[in-house]
Amino acid sequence: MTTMQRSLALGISAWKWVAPSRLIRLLANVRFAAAVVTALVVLGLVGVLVPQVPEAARVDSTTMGRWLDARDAAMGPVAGWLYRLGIFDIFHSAWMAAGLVLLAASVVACTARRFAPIWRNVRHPVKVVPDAYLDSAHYRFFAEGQAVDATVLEGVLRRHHYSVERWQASGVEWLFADRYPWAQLATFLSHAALVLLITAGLVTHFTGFTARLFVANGGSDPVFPMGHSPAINVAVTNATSQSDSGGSPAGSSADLSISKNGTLAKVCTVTVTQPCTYDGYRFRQAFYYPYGADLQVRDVATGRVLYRDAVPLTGSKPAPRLTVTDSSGQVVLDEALAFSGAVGGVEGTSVTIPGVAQPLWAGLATEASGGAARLVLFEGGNASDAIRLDLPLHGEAIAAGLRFGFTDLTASPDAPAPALPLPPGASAAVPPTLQLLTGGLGQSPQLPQLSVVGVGSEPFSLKQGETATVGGYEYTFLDQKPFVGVEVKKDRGELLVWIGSGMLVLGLCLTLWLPRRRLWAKVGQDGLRMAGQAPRTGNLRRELEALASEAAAPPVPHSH
Amino acid sequence: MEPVSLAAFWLALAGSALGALLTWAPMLIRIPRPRTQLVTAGAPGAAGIPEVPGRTPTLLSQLAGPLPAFVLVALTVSLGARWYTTGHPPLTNMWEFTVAFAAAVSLFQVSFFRRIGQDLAGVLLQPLVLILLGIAADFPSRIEPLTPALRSGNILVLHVGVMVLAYGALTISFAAAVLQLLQASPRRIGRLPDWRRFDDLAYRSVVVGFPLLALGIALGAYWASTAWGRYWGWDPKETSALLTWLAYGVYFHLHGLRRWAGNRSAMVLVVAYGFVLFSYFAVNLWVTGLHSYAGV
Repeated sequence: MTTMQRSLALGISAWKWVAPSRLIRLLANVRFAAAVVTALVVLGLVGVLVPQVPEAARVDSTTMGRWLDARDAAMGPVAGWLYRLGIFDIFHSAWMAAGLVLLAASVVACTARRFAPIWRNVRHPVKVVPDAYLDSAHYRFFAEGQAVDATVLEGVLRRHHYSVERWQASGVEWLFADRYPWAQLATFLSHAALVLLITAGLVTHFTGFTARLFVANGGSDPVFPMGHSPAINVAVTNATSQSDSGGSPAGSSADLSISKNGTLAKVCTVTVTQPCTYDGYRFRQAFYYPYGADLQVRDVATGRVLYRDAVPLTGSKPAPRLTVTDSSGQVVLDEALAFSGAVGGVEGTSVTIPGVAQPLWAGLATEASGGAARLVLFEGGNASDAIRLDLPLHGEAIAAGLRFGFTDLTASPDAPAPALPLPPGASAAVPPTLQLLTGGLGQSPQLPQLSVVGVGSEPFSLKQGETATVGGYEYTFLDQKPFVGVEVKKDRGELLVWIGSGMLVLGLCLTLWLPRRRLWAKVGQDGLRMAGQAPRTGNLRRELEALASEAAAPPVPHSH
Repeated sequence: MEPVSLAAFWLALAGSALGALLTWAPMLIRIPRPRTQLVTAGAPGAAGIPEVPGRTPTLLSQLAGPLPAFVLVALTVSLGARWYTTGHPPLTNMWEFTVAFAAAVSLFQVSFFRRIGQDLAGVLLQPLVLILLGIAADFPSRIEPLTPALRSGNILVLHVGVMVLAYGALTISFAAAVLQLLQASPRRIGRLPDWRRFDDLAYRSVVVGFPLLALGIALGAYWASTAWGRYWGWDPKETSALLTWLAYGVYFHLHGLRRWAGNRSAMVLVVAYGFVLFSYFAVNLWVTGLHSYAGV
């Protein structure tokens, strides 16, 4: 055989293999379907066990870069290979897509192949069986010599929800009885549901719309970019949070005003679990964030308001709490400290303590080995009695006649505020930052307190309603303001999911739980012979016996 | 009512320990193997399966008989008292999950009594209930405030309750599969029935658990849609529940094939139950996800 002939033969055999009939046979093969499902299970298991790319990283290359760097650090060179293979995003990988397509194709092929015989079995069942079947069927019963009236047996079967046909042949009464034969078709319902669910996922993936807004209480945000029609706007008119008696968060809600093209369209209250719907969009409170700072900046010379915005403080910074008491036991200072800079790599701030001549530097030191944080207090100058303290958490020490205590260490919200105007002539290498001292110090009337760093040469702190003037600009901390995460969503795939889920559950229940039965009975001189078919979960032999004895039992007299 | 809940829990634990001891002791005592009666297809026995000739239950087995019902009652009291104390369904942390899981297994054990016989049910399930309650005892039982997402009573009961019931039924299939493999091996226990009886029991319990699991996952998707804004997000817990369902789907498809009947199907069930345990315990304890609030 020449090379060309061999190639031709190979091509023909390859064609035969992929020919539609063979392909359909393969797809309709139960073992193949089981193998596809097993492969999907393995992929899913990998997805559960191997860290997956977070949603935020998938849409932002910087976040993705940072996430991959972290994987590189943890896994070494393997991480690169896993990334290229799609293992870090397995549920959106080509592997998973291929598996789901194969599964859908397998279900369709299997359904197409099985439908005609099952339909025939339901619509045109074999009603006449040979005698040999009655003697050899898996489920059979012979009541030898038992005199049974075929009419009575028919009545008994009908009482047990069978549809019955009865006829005579050669002096013998035959019965064919069927119960819930249509339930055989339910398997197609559950298999079609799988295809529908996969389709729903595709619809969601390709047509779903999601916008995540971060709206301050009293503020508003557009759902779409400028120029989109219709223009839908969401305003949060009142955001509240509730706590239980123990102070734990018990829930939160937000009153929304939804407007379309500038006209108020709907007012509703949303919670985490109770969204509201308008124009096919679902508005849901994704989260409640209590830490925002409402700031205003005014030009003192002109009186013009240059800036007015609520800044969400989504970061976090440690805030050590320093307590100072004098010799009489009176508290002269009880404050959470917001850092304004670093000295020798230790972040801290200067603290003015009544009775101490000059401000102290208070910094939070952490050992390189990752040990516990310590509060370091340092008084400038070379005086022999200068304050030099190094306090562990909950530690106390006496210096200059005062008792210093490092009473607590909490995290306080902070964030950069690059849009905050700087005074004329001022410049900053890094944008100003805001830190809000709040919570955990319920007894302190000083809170909430906003610490502003990077606006002037020195940081300054503002209590609610307070103002500080720096270089001709007036900075006012108007209020602590909560933020609400509002998720706006439109997903046409969702309806398909609920229909698919209903079909799946219904199909499974009908297939597995409905007691389908089909039986044949022959009432002859020698007795009653019965045989039948039932799913594995049924104990048809026992049922046949019970039906026969019910048919043979004398009728119960009616009492009047 | 919290002390009542804990006292009932410990009573259930003691009852299941006693039950396991009483049911297994006579099984392990070496007695002559009963002669197996050869019967033709369709003769006595569920679905044409040969039955072991009638045995007089030993005194120990008789004593063990009421214990599963006692355990079920005690666990019901424990969960009821917990519900009364907290004001929310006791399905929100690992202690509550595991106690509910054990209660579900006990429920199926008791409901399967009539069908499969008391001593058989005890052998299957008493040790498993004991293990579950032992694990629960290791979890902290303190009452914590609920996170806002869990404050939706009806769907919490429906979703978690259905999942617990599904896992309870599938636990029976696992126990039956293990005993099927044991009885099909040369080290079979003479006093236990033929492996085909266990094969049948395993299949029946999957028939109960499989649709329940599908319903539980669908209810979870509905809850996720309202609480998290999407019906599916490949969260480890929901993914592993789906994998569990798929694994039992593989069992259903293979079980009907001649080459896969018997021991191979039982092996599939054992592996599939690994997914149940994985999604029930491992995902909550060791994998971070949106269901992490349901951890210890």
